[in-house]
Amino acid sequence: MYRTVAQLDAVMKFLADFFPQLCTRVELPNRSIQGRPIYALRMHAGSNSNRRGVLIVGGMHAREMMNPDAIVDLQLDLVTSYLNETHIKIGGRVWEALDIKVMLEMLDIWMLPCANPDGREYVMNVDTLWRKNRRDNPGTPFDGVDNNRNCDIVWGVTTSATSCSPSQDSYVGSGPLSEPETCNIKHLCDTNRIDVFLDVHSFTELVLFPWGHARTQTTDPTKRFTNLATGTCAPLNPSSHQEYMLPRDQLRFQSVARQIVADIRAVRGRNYTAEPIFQVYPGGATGTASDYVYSRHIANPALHKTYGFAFETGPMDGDLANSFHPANPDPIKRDTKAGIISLMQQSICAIEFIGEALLGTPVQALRNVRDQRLATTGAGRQLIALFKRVQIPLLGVILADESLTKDALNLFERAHKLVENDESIVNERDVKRGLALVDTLVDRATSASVRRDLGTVRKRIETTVGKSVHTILENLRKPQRRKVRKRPK
Amino acid sequence: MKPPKKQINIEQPEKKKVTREQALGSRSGSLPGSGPVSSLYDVGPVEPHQQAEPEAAPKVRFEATIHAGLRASAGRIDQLDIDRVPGAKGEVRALVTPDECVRLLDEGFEVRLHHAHPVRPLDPALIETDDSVLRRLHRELGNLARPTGRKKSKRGKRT
Repeated sequence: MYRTVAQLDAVMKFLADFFPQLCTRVELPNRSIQGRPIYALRMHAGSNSNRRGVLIVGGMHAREMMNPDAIVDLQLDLVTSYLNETHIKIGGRVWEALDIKVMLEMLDIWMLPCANPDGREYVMNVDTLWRKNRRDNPGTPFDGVDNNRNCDIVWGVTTSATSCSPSQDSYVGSGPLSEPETCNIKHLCDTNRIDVFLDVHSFTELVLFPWGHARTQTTDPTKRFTNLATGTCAPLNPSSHQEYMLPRDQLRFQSVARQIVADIRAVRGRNYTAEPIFQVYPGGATGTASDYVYSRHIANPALHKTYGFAFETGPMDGDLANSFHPANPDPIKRDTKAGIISLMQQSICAIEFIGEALLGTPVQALRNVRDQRLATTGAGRQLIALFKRVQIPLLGVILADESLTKDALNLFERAHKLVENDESIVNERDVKRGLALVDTLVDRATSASVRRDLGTVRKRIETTVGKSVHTILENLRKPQRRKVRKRPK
Repeated sequence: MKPPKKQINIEQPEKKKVTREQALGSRSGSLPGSGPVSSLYDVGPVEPHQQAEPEAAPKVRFEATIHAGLRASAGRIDQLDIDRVPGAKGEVRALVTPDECVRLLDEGFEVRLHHAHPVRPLDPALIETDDSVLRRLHRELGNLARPTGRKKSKRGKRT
């Protein structure tokens, strides 16, 4: 069953009216072409500021009916879980009450479930397979612009999935960000700190990330979209262009997407595929929202970096109509909710949480170590990825035990002090404390992979005694040598 | 020499060839709104003068796969300005209007129609009623829905 635009809005209004400590309903500055107000719901708990922001958008394409409902359902689940202190169980995947509490107290979660209300109304009342918004394109009999081709990233460059013809469902519009729906996304990114963005579409069971307009490469930083001609209504020039991405960003996109796939699979066994948008469309797609939000900090370095993802929820099921709006969308909505929670959870940074929220200490020194030292080599990036993998399950373990939390905070303060000076020496006591914490975590971790990762961390800590921070970091930047056993002659 | 006759193949429920003229005729809306793909067969012959301006609001669209034809190579399919929808790996699947079918045939592609999708509103049975939305809200949040949002005290009212 699908909610009307008014019903989707009514649920958000209800949440904002009755739970103002958790939910704020915001009317976005741009109304739809037909004058409908467009609302977002901001969800957050607690009082700490300078949070990471997550923006979840649904319903950009009108006929993809399940996603606005899934997002609104998730709003209800989050409120219920937070206030009742209950877990969220979606099929075989469970998020503990503490996981949800940390998400709501650490993040600013923005949800724009129905970005294209005119389109949704049109699907419900006129044309069940309508995709675009309801723009009246002057001088042509064809209506509508594809919101997910209208964003300001290589806009107006045509591909097999992007058209300059108003008759097509992938019509780019009259200019970049010409549509109210896409302007609202820009507005939310301009006026809030948005670290992670998700655009939820249907169908084919995919978790997507940039780039969409060209193949991704990580070796030549001179190959940038900023040097490409736009608005040409012609294919990408040069056609051989491959878009640069920082290796660290690529690793982040891939590892987050892989975890989302794993979390969705845990619900009922559906196998989503994680891949760059370009892989899905022969010749790519330009002007997409997830590419746009990620491209903003490259086009304008003064802007904050936003990791942009997209889902294609649900499988091909019979025909198009049944795939876009099946009679029973509930199983797919559950997969979608699990994917969104997974992404939100991975948007938390344990270091920021412990440092800024719990200790009130800026974490810039640690951030510098991550970005300027570790992220610049393959081995360093693997270490960052390891940390990202274990931080969420371990944060839950630590916060559930007061004395463990105290140990972790003390150790954090010491580590922070050490990295402020490259010449600081790690002493025996530091190492003992570090190993004691790791051993406790190994005992309490429920996942074998987390225990394995902790084993790697333990070995690294053991080698640090008596060494300077500089030496330790240099060692972490180098690939670990594997001991090769000599074969007996 | 006469050019080869352009044809649309319908794969399901049975393979049957339909002419360009029949594809044009389907613009008129003679396809019953709820009819299966086979209803395309009912479309009568269409006079050449009926090849009018492209129709902005077609009565029906087809879920079709597009294949290389006698005069169109596989390479040209990638360059088609057409609304692709997800399909099997390597397949070019699109939602096309009768006009677009004709254009594709004119350009020498082979078009196989898999489903007809009459332009119509979403089945009202799939749309929530206001009552059911409200009932669910009260069921899920009713016990929490107070302005403070706090849980009810298990100890009862304080005096």
